[in-house]
Amino acid sequence: MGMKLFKKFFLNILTYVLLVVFFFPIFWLVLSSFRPTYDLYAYPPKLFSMDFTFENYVNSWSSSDFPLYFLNSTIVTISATALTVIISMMAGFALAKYKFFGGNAIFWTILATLMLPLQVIMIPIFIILKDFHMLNSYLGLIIPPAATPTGIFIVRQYLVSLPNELIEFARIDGASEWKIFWSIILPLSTPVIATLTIFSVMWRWNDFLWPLIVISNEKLYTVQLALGMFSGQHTINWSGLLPMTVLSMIPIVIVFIAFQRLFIRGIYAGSVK
Amino acid sequence: MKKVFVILTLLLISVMTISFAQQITLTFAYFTDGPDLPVIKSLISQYEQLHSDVKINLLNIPYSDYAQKLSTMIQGGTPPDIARAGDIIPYQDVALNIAPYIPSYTGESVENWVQNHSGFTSMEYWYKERGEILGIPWDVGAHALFYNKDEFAKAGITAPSTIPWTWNQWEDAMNKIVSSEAAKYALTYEKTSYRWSNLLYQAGGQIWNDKDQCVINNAEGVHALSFFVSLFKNNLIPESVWVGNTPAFSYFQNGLAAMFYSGTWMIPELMQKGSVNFNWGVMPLPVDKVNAVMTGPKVILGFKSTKYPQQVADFMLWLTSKPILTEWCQKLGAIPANHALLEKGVDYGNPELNSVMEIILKDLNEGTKPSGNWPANFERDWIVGNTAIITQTYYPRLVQDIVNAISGTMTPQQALNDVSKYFNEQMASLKSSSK
Amino acid sequence: MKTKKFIPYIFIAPAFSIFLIFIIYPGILGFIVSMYKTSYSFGPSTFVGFNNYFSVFKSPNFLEALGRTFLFSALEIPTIYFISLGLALLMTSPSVKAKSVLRVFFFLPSVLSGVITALIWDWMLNYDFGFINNLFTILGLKNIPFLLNPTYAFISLALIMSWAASGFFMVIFIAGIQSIPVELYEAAEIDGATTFKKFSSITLPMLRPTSILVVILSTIQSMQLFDIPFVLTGGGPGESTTFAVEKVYNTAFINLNMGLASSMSFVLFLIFLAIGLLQFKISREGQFWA
Repeated sequence: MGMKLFKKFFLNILTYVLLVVFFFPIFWLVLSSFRPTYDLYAYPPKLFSMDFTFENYVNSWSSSDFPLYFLNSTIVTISATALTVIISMMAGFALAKYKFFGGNAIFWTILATLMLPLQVIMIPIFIILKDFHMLNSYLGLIIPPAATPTGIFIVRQYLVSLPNELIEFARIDGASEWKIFWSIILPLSTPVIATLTIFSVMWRWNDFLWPLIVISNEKLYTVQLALGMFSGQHTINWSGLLPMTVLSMIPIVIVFIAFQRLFIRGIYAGSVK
Repeated sequence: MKKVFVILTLLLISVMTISFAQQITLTFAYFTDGPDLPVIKSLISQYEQLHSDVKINLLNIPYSDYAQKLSTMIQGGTPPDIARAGDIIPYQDVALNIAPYIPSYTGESVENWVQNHSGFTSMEYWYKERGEILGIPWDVGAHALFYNKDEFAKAGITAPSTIPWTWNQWEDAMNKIVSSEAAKYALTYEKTSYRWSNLLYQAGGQIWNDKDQCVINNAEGVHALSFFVSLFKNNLIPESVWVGNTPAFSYFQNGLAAMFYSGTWMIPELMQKGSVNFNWGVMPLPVDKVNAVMTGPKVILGFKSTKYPQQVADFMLWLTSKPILTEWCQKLGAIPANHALLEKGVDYGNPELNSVMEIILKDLNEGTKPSGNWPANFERDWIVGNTAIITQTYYPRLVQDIVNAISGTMTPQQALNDVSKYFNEQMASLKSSSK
Repeated sequence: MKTKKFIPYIFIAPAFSIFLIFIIYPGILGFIVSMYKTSYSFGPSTFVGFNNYFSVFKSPNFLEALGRTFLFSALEIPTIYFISLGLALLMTSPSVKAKSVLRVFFFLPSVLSGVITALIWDWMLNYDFGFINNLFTILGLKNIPFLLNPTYAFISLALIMSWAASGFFMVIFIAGIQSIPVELYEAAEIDGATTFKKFSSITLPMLRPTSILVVILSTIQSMQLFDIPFVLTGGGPGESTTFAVEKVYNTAFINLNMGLASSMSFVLFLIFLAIGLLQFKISREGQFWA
């Protein structure tokens, strides 16, 4: 019993030490967003100071059309995430549970696209988007980035470890492949769907390069493009960038908290027996 | 689960493409250089009120991604109509020649207009070279040396306001600041090859000679770099700014360095509330052999591919016309890239700003007067011809070798030899490919 | 098993067709660009065959940056792997309370943009006003030039990147751990297995697909590292934190040499493909195929 208590004590101490390492810099970031810029690099460094003010938030929120940018980002993030989850589940399922001609090649082609630096193929992408009339449109922001190799890879690796017997039994019972996907695979995939949703929300919400290519109209700017506008040629407007960065993190935190409840242990365990 | 998917899918499908069909819409690619966004927005709405048939779509792009976004748009076949730019060189083949529109707008012949408006090399160069006006200089950034008045007072130093320090006097003052413990460091210096080159020209050096050979490693160049390196060796400049990549301004902001070698673009930044919490001033740039103050005009240019060349030219000429340019400069503490305006002087309407600008404009005036090969060397190095293309394309090597000299992995002579060798190789390859 | 042959293709079609149109096809066009010498200032370009590729392999700068990228990845990948696995184990351990809140805090660093991450760590590590060096001063220790010495800068950057990436991989590991059937542990407990025994004989083997995922994704991430060193160290001191993708970027947007930049990225692309395939082969992951 003593051993167990010690273990518990040790694990908790370790967790909180790690927590300080991981969270302390962000804690400073949040505090700094409430302070004048000259405190940012103050010497000696300041953690707390009397200069707390909401002025940065008020000024930067009204400096641009942030409500619109948040709305744009929300539309893009929700739609693209829905699409990402659906098509990644489908593709990941096929790659994990079927052996078919070209399967390996397709898998590696998809994965390999991760390695093409977007910066370099930006111009051809731009031309294709232009041909599809997807420049300056929500569709251009939503559809192409929704197919993410990482998403497919995550799903595939998760489904690979689901027992094949589940599928075999269903086939014997005469279920169609589509039915197997909908009624067996999807319900068992709650943890991976939750993971993918969190990631996709983060990717789309934080995406900078893709909107930079697609959008040439300030009415369609996303939050990240708007954040980029605080960087000028010679200076960065920290008193604008920091508060808006902090605000832009909040939706991701909310989604994370909401969806991580779906990381439920061993949800399918009973069905194997 | 199924329902959620169906709903989300429907939502996705219902999101429609938004198209913006307008009268005439001109896209204006823009990057900020300090707190200038509200000013350009108000000028644009002024213009739109004057021209109800024209709408300006201001496309504000983060500076660090500006080159990338603009070159994607250009090579993708949909350049903007108008762009703010630091230089004409990269856009020489795609820029709109607005010369035909000048007489009707200004009532002056192109030749007279060039004479009146400019005095800025790049525009004159392209006009002489091709008979074309490829962009209009807008405002000018000039290098400037800021100082912390409180720390200077503590060290018992008076900053010059009209007669610049020599490098020796400058160095003495720096030593005094550090030894009196008024500040930990005397100077913070922006990490760019352009900023460093100002020392090169003050020492009488140059990057290129008139035979397209890189001679940055001659005695003057080595003298300039050795002086710069010695400031680091004596702990007068923080290494973090050059060997590391900490923004130079941060050391001025927190009072760790008493002087800040930067440029006039910092003035609106410094005047903003919450930027610094001490009194600051500006002094003329120190002088070695030559009184050299480097400038860099921002230009506004149009693109050949625009459907509305007339309107593009009209907007460009309006934005750089005297009353509008004056308004821009007053609000931002900027320097107009217009000879006539410069000579007349701008009233900044604010005593504090007027006193700062007085020092800067006087320094600029003295520091751009010809002396020896100045400013011909600077124009060859950065603004015109193949030499400028090489410098502007391969400057990261210069920065890297300066850092090598500071951190002691190379002597100043070795560092500049390396730059010279590399630049000469690039020049040879540029010449062989254009044959 | 008599499933219809075309079914897997239908499942893959939506995702794959998007790839085909928006990534693979542009990629092929990019490959064609890599055969051209592009002129400065958006002028016409000339076909040069594989000349750009010869230039890539003759460029000592690029090859050095590539070597540095490998070294960095070799340091970075195991670090990320162990930190994120460790975090995931803590964040699923029944002994730790308030896990759902704590997970958010560990995940947050991966949400930050490059500019902000660089700002934060400049503030932490700066030689003169950095938080850590000031702590050292207060404790009477010597200041450490974290970002001013090539070796320190390299290691600092590896740790910063681990800080920035571990939360993301922690989430992947948590999902993997949660999907291990509880019955396996219950059975082991009945057999009187120790915690370590359960970890080594159940958790680790069951996590193999997840581990492969983490290793390959972190390989890609560290090989593409670019934005944080670009802002934080400017690739220095010297060239000690200049990596391959930064060279690609400079070549494309400062030197405006799109042809050479494309050929550099195709070299990177092939190298990654080789490494990825090798990782798969070594892990003998094929046996999971149904």
